[in-house]
Amino acid sequence: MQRRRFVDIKSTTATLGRNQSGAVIRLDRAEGIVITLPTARAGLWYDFLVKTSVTSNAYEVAAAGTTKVGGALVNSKDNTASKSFLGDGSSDVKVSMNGTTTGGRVGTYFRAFCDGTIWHIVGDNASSSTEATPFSS
Amino acid sequence: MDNRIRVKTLTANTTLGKNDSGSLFVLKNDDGVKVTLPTKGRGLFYDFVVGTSVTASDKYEIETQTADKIRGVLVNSKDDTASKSFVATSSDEIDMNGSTTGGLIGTGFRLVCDNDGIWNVFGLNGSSGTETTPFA
Repeated sequence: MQRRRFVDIKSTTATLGRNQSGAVIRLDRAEGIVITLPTARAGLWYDFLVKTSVTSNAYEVAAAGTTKVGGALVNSKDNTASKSFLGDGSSDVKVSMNGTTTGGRVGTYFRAFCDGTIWHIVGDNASSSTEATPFSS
Repeated sequence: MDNRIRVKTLTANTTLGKNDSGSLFVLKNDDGVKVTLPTKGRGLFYDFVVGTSVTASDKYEIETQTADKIRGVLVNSKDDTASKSFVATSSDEIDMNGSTTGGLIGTGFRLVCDNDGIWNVFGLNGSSGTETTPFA
């Protein structure tokens, strides 16, 4: 039987290691967390799951160094039409979720893949109010 | 030890092998690429992301073998815009033209083959313009 490893993060900041590739990273701090991805390397991947909705500051998932972030996140509000946001892979360097418009609420689940050059982010981002992009330069 | 997945960059037309199952394929040619899936096989799965947006006059194409079909949902995602979903019940291919049918950076989806030889797809498809189905 194959199981996924879970890594709970409750600290203000965290830097993921290559040896955590394949894990489900659970974000569990209402006051926000800044997570730094490891240096880009083809094949690294992480799933992110919000365990506790962020209520102040933000949940941030940031590329290291000069690496960029691309991809798509669907900001999903309960029982409401969804809105998509695209990361451009050329200027965006992080996903930042503020607990309302840019997501980061319970229900958020997305994957980050690295192709060796950029990080590709794909998944759902539970949000509220008027959705705004979680991708940030 | 790293738990990394295999990453393969596709810049030219390619037929995937069963031994490629589990890999992440990066579509990276603005002139388009045609990817042919292998003959059905229970449990085979492939992930795709777009590394270079295809230009509007070309397309990224994922096609099945003649006897196989694609079923599932892709959400055509435009930046800062309401999403539109498209459903396939018995399609032969996914065609992304770099605008209405997707294929822009942001695209990421998985194809998984089931017991019945159906390729089940789910994911997001970065698009622009007036969204149109990527299934054909």
